[in-house]
Amino acid sequence: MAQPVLLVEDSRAVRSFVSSILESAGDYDVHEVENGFEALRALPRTDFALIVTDVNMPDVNGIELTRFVRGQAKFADIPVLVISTDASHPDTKRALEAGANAFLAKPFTAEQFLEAVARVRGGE
Amino acid sequence: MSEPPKPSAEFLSEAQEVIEAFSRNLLQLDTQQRTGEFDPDLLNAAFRAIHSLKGLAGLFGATQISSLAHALESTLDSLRLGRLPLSQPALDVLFEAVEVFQNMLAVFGLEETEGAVSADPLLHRIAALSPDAEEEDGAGDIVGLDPAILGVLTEYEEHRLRENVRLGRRLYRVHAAFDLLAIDVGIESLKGKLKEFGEVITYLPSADAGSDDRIELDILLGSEATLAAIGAGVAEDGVRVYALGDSPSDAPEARPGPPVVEPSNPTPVPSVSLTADDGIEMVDASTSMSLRSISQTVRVDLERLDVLMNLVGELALVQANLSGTLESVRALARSADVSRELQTHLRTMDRKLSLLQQSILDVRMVPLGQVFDKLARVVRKLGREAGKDIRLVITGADTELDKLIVEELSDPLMHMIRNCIDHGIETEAERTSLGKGPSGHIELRAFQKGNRVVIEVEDDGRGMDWRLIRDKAVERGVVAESESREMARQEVIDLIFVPGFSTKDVATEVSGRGVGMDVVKTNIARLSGLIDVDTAPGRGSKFSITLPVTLAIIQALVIETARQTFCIPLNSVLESIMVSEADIETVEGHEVVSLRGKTLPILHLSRIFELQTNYRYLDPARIYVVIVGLAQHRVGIVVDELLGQQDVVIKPLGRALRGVPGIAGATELGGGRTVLLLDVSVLVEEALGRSDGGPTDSGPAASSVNGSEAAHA
Repeated sequence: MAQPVLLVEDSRAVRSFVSSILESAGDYDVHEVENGFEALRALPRTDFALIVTDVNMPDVNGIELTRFVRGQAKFADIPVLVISTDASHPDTKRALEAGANAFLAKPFTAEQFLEAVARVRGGE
Repeated sequence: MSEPPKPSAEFLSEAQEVIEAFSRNLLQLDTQQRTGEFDPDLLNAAFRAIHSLKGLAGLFGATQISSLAHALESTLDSLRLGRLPLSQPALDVLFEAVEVFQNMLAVFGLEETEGAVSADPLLHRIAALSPDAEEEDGAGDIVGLDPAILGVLTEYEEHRLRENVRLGRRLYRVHAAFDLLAIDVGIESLKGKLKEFGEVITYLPSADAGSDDRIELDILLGSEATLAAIGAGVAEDGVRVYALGDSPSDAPEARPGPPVVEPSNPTPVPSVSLTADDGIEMVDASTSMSLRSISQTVRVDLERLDVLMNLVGELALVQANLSGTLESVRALARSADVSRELQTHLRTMDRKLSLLQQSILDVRMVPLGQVFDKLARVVRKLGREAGKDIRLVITGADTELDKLIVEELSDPLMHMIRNCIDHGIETEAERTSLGKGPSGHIELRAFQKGNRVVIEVEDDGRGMDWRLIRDKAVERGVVAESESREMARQEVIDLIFVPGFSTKDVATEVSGRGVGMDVVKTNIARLSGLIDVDTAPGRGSKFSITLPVTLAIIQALVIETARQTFCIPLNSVLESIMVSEADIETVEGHEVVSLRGKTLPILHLSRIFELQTNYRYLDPARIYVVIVGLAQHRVGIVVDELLGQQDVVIKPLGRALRGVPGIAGATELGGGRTVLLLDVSVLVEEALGRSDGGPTDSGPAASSVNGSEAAHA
């Protein structure tokens, strides 16, 4: 059965890039949303196997989204992969502290992305 | 799969959008910066745009764009974190970056072009803007917030929190619950209300939200208003507001702040429960949108639309053929029922075809805002270079035109704005001495008028003195002195559009804006547009450009001459008149007719296209002359027959005809006939080139024109 993935990213081109990696790599059904609020709406509707999120978004940012997911019993076990441009930025550290499983810096290749996905899903 | 994805159209279009959004943010910031305070949200949006661009460009292998964005991102980060003041020189650098990014995008994806646009000078200027303030003070001691809360704020949000405290605002926690399906609508409404009170710092989703359908949020708000005032402001939304502990105005500085934000537990600080129901008033779930992305736009390549448009054109031909068949069926005596039925179907098909055609045209429409934003940047840049403070007012940026027209408009408008700033608007000192107020004003307006769009460029500068224009025109030999004395004021002003008049020294001397206006006129004419000018010395000038909404499909007048059929774009046809051979006079070797007191040069398509060596009028007593006009020029085209009006889809010419002057394209009429469409601007130029100038007065000869006029309204 296809694994549902929630992809939260405000760039349309990046969303379609990531979706195409996941969809061509295997059995993933990618739900694309472009901001934190849409992510909050999508979460309860589907049993997601993975969340991939950007950090820097208006209103509900990726750190807040991660914290929310970790704080809810029914979402707490969903692996969260954070994608952002800057590994050294304080926001990256905060996302990991809020409970993100891994961080992947943009730009990344398809292999690097799939490796990171495998890593965060490894715990299952 | 390890290669970066291809430089897709998707990347280019999104990068373009991001840069345009960035530019709009800058323009707003620029205006606000000059008048005092600016909205920190705008600066943050500018940062986010460049941050997104960096990530986007990196993924798609646009390394040059990505590294420039990286450098700029640090500067914007310092700006939004208050480590670098937002100044006009800083804005200069940011505006320059918009141009550099656009140049980089323009060459991206072309072979061997990496490095064609140099970012070095800009990078040096970015580096020169080094932050002058130190890092902010350490952790939660100022605000007394729960460190767990500070931990989920981004660095920027934390900065805004501190900044609000520094400005002496109180901090509030606004607790709201939303129906998940309508959260975006609810949030927008609440955000709008809260923004009236101060700054929304962030939204924290509550970790202990109850059901699947609802979500609770805590909103951090910095405001000068009292708890009661904010409470009353959001009362109808059923939201609870809590003041956060140590707001600076009422707390002694040494007191350690209690951890006051605990989203799972309303704090014991004074709180108001505004309604029993803590849910915000919701839009009916049935009207809310789906879970899928809220973006409603799809980008389509114009070529694909052209394919659709051609198909519609071909369908129209099929329909015309069917109508022909209907006539044949009618001729069969016993088929009355069948032919009636067929006619009904044909009529329905006709209506649907028109709708289809209109829908495709609508898709091609884009707002003028894109071009206007670009002009706004130019106004700012040139104004600063010329040391003039210029206020630009834009209205009607959402007016839509065919994308191709919008693109072609950019150069002429740019040129007009440039003239406006260089020659039209006076220096500050000059304006003050004239009692005009130090800032110059330029207004850029667009509006729809019937099936045309009007764009106006108006300034309150020097304006042009028509007497000076007349003297200069005579001096330069554009008109004869005797002729010039008989010209009306407006005719004289229109001379600024004549090639040879508009040179730089003339423009400066008549303190007007005539530089290169002939080129502007030609560009506008190529878009089947008209340009008019209204000006008064000391008061300024107003240029009005009138354009068709689209060029893809036009109404055409179908004519026949020398046994050939041609189409003339109806929007350049002013009227058709009928003359007799005797009305045609020859003045200095050129054929003219007189029309209401003016001589009108006429031309024969048979000669221009060398159709017949010895063309003769079909009926020397009944010669049709179609009068076409472009910008302020008029020319008559001699035709044998007027066949009627028709909507035609313009198709590009085949190789053999491409480059034939006077032919703009081809189209198909019923029966599969290909017919050429005349390029009126070229024909007008041709005729005027021959007859040396526009319409001139020829006195009483006007009565010789046979009065039968056929209007084409």
